[in-house]
Amino acid sequence: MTPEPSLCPDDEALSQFADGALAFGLSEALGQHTESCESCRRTVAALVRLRSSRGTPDESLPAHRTARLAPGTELGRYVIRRFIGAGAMGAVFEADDPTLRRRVAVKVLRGSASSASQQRLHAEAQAMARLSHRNVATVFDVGAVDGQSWVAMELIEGTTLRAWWRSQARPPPVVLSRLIEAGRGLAAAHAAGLVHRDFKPDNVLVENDGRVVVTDFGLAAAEADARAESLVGTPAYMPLEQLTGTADARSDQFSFCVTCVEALTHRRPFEVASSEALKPRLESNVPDPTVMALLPSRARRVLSRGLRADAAERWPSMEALLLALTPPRRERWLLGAALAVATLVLLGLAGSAWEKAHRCDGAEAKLLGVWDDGIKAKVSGAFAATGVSFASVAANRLVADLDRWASAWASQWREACEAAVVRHEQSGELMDLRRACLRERLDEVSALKDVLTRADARTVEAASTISQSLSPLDSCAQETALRAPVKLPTAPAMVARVAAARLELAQRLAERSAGQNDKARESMARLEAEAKDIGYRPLEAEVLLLSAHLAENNDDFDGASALLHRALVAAQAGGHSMAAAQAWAYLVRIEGVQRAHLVEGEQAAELASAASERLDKPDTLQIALGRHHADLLSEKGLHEEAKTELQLALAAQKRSDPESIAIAAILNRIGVEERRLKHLPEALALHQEALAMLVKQLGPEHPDVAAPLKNIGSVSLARGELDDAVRWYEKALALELAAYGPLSLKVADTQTNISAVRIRQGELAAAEKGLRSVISIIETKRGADHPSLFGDLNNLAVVLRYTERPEEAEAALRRALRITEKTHGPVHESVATTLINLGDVQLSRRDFDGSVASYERAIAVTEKTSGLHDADLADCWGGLAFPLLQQQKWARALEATEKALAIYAESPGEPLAEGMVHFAHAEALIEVAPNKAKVALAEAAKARASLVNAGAQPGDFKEMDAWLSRHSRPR
Amino acid sequence: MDKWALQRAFAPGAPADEAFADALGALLTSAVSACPGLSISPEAFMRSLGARASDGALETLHTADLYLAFGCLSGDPAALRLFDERVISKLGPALTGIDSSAAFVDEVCQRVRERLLVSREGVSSKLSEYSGRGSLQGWARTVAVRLALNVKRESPHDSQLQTDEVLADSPFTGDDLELDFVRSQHRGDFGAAFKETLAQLDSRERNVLRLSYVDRLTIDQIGAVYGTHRATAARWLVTAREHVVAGTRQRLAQRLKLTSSELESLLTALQSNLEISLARLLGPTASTDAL
Repeated sequence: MTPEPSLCPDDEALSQFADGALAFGLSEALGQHTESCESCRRTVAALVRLRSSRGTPDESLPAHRTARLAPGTELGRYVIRRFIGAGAMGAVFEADDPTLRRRVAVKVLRGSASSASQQRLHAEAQAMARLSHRNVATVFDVGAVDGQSWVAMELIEGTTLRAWWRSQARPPPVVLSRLIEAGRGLAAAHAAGLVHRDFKPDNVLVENDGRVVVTDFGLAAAEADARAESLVGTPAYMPLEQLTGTADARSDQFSFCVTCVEALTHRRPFEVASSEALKPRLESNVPDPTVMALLPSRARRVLSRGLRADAAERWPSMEALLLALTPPRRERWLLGAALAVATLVLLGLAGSAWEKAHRCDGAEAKLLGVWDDGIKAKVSGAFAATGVSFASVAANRLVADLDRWASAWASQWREACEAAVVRHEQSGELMDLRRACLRERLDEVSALKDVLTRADARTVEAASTISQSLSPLDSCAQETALRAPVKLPTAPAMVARVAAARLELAQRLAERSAGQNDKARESMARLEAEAKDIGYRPLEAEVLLLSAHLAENNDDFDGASALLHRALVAAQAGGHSMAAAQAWAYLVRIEGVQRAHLVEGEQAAELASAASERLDKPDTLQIALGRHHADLLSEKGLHEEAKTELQLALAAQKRSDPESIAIAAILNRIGVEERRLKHLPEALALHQEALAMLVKQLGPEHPDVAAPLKNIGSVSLARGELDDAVRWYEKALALELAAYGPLSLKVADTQTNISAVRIRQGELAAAEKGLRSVISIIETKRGADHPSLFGDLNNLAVVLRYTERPEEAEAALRRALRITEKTHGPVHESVATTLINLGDVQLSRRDFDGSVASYERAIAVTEKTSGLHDADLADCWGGLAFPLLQQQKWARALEATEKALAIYAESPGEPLAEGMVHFAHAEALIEVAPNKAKVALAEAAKARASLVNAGAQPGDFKEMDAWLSRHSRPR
Repeated sequence: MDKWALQRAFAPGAPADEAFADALGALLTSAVSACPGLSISPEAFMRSLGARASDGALETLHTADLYLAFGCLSGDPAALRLFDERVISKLGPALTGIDSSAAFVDEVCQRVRERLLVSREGVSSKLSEYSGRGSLQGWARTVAVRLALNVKRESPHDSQLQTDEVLADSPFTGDDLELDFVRSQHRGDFGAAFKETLAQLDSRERNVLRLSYVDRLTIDQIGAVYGTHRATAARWLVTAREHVVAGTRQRLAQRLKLTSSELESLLTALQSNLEISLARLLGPTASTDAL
């Protein structure tokens, strides 16, 4: 009978209760508590009597005078249950509608309601009540009590849009989709002839289930009426015309765009100090460019138009804006539609067709023992037992991958039969070929599952790519590929040995996919010998292909190249077109990228493409070739071409498996090319998309997540946000160190990046230490002449030059120049970069002739590689000015700086470079035209100020200050 | 005051958020204008606010009240003066409902001051527990009412709170001689039946009766205690009363074997005096055995 005594509520809860502000559920609990606690019952009773005797809401301190209605108070037919919150406009309560037995939200507006504002509110509410839209809060009723207007509306359980975006970081597409929903609500209201007048993040609610609802239509106007103020709305979100008193749908559009910018960047496009300060900003029609630069490019374009000062220049309607803002439809939608049609046709068939169709069942039974629930459980268990932090995420992902593989396999098995038996489109012979091919694929997975059920930590790390390493299923459906003549072994003894060797090969493949490279490598020599001994060349080619992969994994690129050439010979001799095509595609990467033999890489790409064409270009082959070739093109500085290759690969990947994690890898790779093309917002968006995809599928601790993290860091670096860049890089480094240990090439790569930033931050000792460690790792793993040393040698030279060791710096640069000329020939951006650094070092050694020569060569190269309007070219011209100044060749120095500044005006360079060139310009100008000394001194002083935060060295400032004080003295 | 410094103090390590920093600036300005003359470091206040607001929306906190409380806790004389003026001196009306004597009110006010502002034996003052979810004045009033009820209980001469041992007698007083006889015959049985019935009620019914008859709350107020609509509270109260009557009748019928007319007349008398009986039976001490 007696309930468990509960804890006494604290005084805070009781006073909230007395204020009528205690949440409903809590109040119920309080009532229950008084059943067993006499002291609290008497306190509560005294408080509740007091509240009733006070009659009026609590008198609080002046800053917070918000009407609080006690629970039980009646407003029209509504009964107040609890206080929800207070805003600028008034207080919101949860209330009961006893007539319709539903909960509603009642908003009690602040200020007294004049009859005019009452009428207006009523008119708005009636219009709103006619509007029913998913993204608009439904208005039920409106009224007045004690001179205060109230509105009863749909109760939304959720948070404001602002609280939503603050609660956690979300990728731009997710934020955008919420904004678009809110926009639809606005559009619906506009269609009904209503204007919001105060659209902002606080008037948009995100429900717990994700629905987005716009609230408070027209209330701003009613409120302003009540307070006899002309200004309606919130200044930071208002367009100019609204500040001067008129508002229409296009004003809402403007507010919507401000909200979008803020949601996507967490900053507003216009200053907020006051409505007066806002006016000039809006009139000049310039949203803060540093804020707008943070937006994804499409959003920036669309929102900029919506933010125009002149309403006539904005989008004609919210619908038009939303259409432009909505990302293009995915291909998958089209596929869905096609599928629906096919189903309808099948359903139209008669019973006999159904029977026929079922003759081809039985694929699922074949999967038993290869990939079934029991095996999945074993794999998950084995993963969990490794103790790797992201094991369960990796296991889930892998199981999902292989589930998709299994269902694709089953549908191909069925389809092979139906094409022959049901539809009579293909011959029985082709069906047997297809099924033989599918059986081989199934054997691969069977071998894989054995490895997976004995997973170790390496397996878990490799899990994300395991399904990609399986031989493609689509080639089993391609007649050309199937008929590509791979002669089967004939002698019975040979057949048995080939079958045994194939089985072993499948096991080694599985081990490699599972990251157990060392284990796989152990027995490869024996398998190679066995294949050769059998004398069946197609098998030999396949074995050698695998050996080449294992060699690359071991950073043995020369070995990989040799193995691939042997694989090619075997494939050609055995008539194994697929293996030949794979080997050529793979050589593009090994020769072109890993061994930096660009010409050989390009040749391999052509041959791979021809081999693929012969097989009707299977998607999997095209994707691999596209990615390898893009690496090669990028290495050659042809970034647009690399991007195009990658976009084709992306399309093929989406076609072949729209869920694949390989999509994230390709997106990430396209982002790199975009960054190199200086399309920073595009690059950032791609990396973020890739990052979100990887984190979602692999979990945040997986080493694969490091790649996009690193690239986001590089975008920050390109934007000059150095601290951010280091932060991103270090996140990536931590993941890589944990997964690969301190001596791996991946760790070296990341350290290279961090060192580059450290240099700009002036942390030269840290940078030098990092760079020397990187160089030694690369020398060991890739050889002393490897092109990847190029960047680190250049950076090391910069450090050495700034720490007064110019001779060592010059030596490092000459080595870098030698490597890059050998790799790329005399016209390449890397050559130009090295020449610029060399010119700089020569300058510091007072070798002015050498310096001028280096810069002039750099200019000639850059004009060819980057064109005449690139900031890189400006850097070269700017650099040339410094030795010329030293040689007192003032006119030529002036000419050089003017060329540089003209280019910077079009395409801004780095603040450090621009500042230095401005200073140099001033130095030359004062000598060439002494009558312009004033202008020159002003330019120099401004340049010096701009350099304070740009990474200039103390020595630079010393010289600049000396010059300034020398010239500031009156002559 | 630099708004970024405010944001850093409020949420150390959080990324810069312009709108939020602006909001903090506005909040500080309004708090200072509500409580002028305090010498408090804005950063220190923001730090303490940040610690409190971490789980809830800043918009719903009584920040000006928190500002004043923070001032009192820092020993700021202007803050203490304001606190006396705006909070302590406004407690009177709440306390006179319990005891209207000036001495009582003064004593309770003094105890509230000590309780809220003085820390003792390593226990920090109660004001440091104030979180700003409700108004400071309301919170202080709650503390005061609790204290006042305790002060009352310490005093031995409070008849209101004394047990009335003869509560079961009340239905038996009246002018009807014949009935008087019956009632005097069955006094003990009636009292026992009534008490038993009350003890068998569920705890909410008993509590609703207590709130109504002992604490003298209206059905609106009972509804407020349970956070429910007055109609619901009214229904609970009616049901509880019906259960009392029906239970008492059934138990009496079993005990006394009265004719139905005798029972009816007894119950008529009972019902008319039911409210008095309930008030007494449900009073503090009598109820302890039922709990």
